[in-house]
Amino acid sequence: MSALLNVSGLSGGYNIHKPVLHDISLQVQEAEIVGLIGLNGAGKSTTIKHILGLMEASKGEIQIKGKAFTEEPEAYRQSLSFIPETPILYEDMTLWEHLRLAAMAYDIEETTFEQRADELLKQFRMNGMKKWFPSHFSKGMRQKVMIMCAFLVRPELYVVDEPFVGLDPVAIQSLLDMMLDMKEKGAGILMSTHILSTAEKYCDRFVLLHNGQVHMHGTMSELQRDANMPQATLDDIYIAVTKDEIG
Amino acid sequence: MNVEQLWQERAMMFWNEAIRYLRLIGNSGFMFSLYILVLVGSYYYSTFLEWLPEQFPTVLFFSVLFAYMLTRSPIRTFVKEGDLVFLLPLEMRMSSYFRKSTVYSGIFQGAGMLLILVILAPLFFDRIHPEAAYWFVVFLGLMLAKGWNMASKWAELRIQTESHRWFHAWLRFVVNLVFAFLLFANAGVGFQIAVLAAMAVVYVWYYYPLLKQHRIKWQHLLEMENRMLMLFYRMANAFTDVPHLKGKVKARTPFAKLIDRVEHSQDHVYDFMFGKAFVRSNDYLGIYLRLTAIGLLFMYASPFSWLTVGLMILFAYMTGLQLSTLYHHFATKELPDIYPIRHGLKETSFKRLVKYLLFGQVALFSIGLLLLSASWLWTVAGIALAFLTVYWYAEYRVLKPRKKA
Repeated sequence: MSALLNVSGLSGGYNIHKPVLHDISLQVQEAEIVGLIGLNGAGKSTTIKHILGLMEASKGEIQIKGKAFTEEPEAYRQSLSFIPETPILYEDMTLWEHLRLAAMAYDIEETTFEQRADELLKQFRMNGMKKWFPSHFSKGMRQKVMIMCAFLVRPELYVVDEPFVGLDPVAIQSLLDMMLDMKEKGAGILMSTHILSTAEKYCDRFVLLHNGQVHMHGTMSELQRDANMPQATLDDIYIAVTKDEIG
Repeated sequence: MNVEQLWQERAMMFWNEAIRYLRLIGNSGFMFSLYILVLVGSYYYSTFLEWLPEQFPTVLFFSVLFAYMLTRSPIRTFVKEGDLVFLLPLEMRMSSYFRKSTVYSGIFQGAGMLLILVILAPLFFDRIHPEAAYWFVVFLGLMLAKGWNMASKWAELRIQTESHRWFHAWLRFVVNLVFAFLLFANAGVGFQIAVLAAMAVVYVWYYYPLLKQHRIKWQHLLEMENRMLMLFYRMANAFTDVPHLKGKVKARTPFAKLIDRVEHSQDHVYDFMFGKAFVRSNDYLGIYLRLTAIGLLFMYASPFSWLTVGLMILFAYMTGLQLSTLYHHFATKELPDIYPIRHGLKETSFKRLVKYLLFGQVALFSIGLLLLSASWLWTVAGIALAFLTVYWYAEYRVLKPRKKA
């Protein structure tokens, strides 16, 4: 059985002569949360942009359910939703309209949309703000809108870029609960984050990026074994493997 | 770098950009139309003055017009978003920066008032006072009052509450109205000087202390700066594509509700997005309605059927030009790029919206034409021509890039 998301031998970047990513391979299976870990500038966001189909790889392949973006662009995009690091909101649309737009764009039927949207609004305690415009939202609220739009769609694959920054503790818990819930239902989640303790608790596997390369990958125990650091936390391992280059 | 240099640099930066736009406007045939307008206008001016009934409240007209121009007094501060972080610590040392801004804005607005005063000079000499010397007295008085207004406005800008700022502006309007009335009614230099003295006293005893009591309201300055910049860009946008045209979002609930009727399906994603953006952003809706109203007004004023038809098409075309920038409204957003929607949907949706809007406008114009035109031939031909033009524009022209500044 092929993986839900399969990235193999990906090289790419903004300039073909200066690739940012070198031969990156990673998989996300169904019902799995994979943590994409790396320092600022390690290539996490660039990797994500390639997966979203916003950038073209100079080498390698990316497939969702065995199909590349170029083969069936609409089906490819239909099967994933994205929570960006910096919330991207339409300044001229209310919160409710953002949700409705997401539902329309991903072909979610109206009654299903309303039911899911009401649940999400309750969960993130934004019920009273349906008619608000983004200019009145704090950073955390903007992030919540993005999260709600993504979970409204219920795709097979979630691509989540640094979702915790700016969120209040209750919202972080809601997000994590929802991720676990979706995972139970069979979805795959690729999550990039710097909050390593949270990642350690919730991710099934990890991909450690460094200077545009996959430095290590595997489950927690595999990482501990490979780094020769039994009982170590993800924080310790990460700092140890990147130390040479930082120091 | 000192703050005065900073101001100089920013003003230069604006003018470097502005001059490129102005040059484009100058080359676009606009200046030529302006010359024609001036020539024709000056020919009809004397006829207009003779026609203007004796009862026309000239003094009141002058007073209200100039009181309004005196009161508004916006200030170009050249403040940028980043200043809210980086210049904040310099605030106490920035008074010379803002003094430059206030003087600069005052000079420009004073020149604007001079221009209006020159244009209205024949009316002035005909109805207010026959002597050129008095015209200069009025000019001088207005400039002094402008100075007071600029200085007071700068102090007012430090007030946090919007309603309080409005209240101050209204009070200033009343003072300006009294002053302007005394000037135009030729009430005597004594009265006029008395009001000017009162202004000075109010400034010293009320406004000046405000500067000490309150901090600068950066957010508000930024809003004002953006508003003024947008006004310039929007004007330039009538002649060319201006990239960074962004403005305030307004809820406009009744209009926005109409857009909610868009069918809930993937094919209508962009109808929904463009629809909401049209209603709420950058005053697209306002421009559309204004151009429609002004178009009707011009059509009404036109003495010949062929000219009425020409105006109708011209205004529909101008509306189309203004709408064309809406297409790029989402250009900086990454999200629409990853929606699973088919290629080309955006173009189709946009053309459809422009077509609907222009058809609606031309339909209104057509009703106007039916009521106004004496010639059936011109009416029928005009309506057909107008619909064809906007159809052609929406289908083939609206997405074509225009010359860049």
